[in-house]
Amino acid sequence: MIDHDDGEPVDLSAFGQADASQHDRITERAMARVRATRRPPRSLMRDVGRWWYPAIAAAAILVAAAGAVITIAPPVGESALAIDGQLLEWASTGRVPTNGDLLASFRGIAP
Amino acid sequence: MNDGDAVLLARSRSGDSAAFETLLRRYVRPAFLVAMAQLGEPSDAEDACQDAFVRCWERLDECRDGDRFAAWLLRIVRNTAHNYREYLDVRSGRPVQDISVPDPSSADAFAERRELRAILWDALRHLGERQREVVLLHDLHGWRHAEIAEKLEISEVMSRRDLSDARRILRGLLGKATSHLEER
Repeated sequence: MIDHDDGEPVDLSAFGQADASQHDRITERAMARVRATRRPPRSLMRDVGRWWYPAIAAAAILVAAAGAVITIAPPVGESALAIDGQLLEWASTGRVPTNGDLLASFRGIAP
Repeated sequence: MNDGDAVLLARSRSGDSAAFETLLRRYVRPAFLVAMAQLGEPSDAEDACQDAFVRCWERLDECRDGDRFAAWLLRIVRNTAHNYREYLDVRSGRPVQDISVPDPSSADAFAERRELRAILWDALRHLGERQREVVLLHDLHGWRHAEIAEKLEISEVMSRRDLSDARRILRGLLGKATSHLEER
């Protein structure tokens, strides 16, 4: 029964030899209390309570994933804002943009 | 017929206390040793086991996998014994680690079983909590590493390593104690 690949066992018998009477005593005293205790009936609240921690853990994972997506994804409309600024500049200075200006400005949002 | 843990657990859940008693008798010895690994005193370990067994009965619905009943039971025994030790610490006003043990230099210390157990406990306290459980379950109860790994929810590699380390530390500590006695 003992594995022999870890060297010789240490003699710990004085610490807790198998004692059938002791095991009987523990079991019988526990069972006397068990028989005197009615097991609480199953209830919806207990069933919900049992899944409370897994539900919180799942929600935390979802929040973390959503946060990561928001952080990593490029901000929407950044290039559009830059074009708005460019158009505003052309309007305020009265300069007519060249084909090259238009191409350079709109390349970022081309479909 | 020797019913499996899952079958007995299902019967226990339906209120069959005899099935639950069969489960307890199946694991009372390892449960006692897990409690001893925390408390070191048989009477305390007995009390902790009784409390843990009653708690298991009250929470049978929380054991989701009947084939892992033993691991679940031992986890409750460990937690109960841990709380019991903290309670004893508070009540005695001193941590268990500081409780003095008989002087190993005294030859009389080996005469009484109780004193020998105190010396062993003094050496076992130098081990980690899991190392104590592994060495007791392996060298005293005779479980193999596969069983220990399953019941303590650790890997077999970890079980082997804990046993090897525990034996090395214990031999060193107990060797010193015995050689000191032999010099006398």
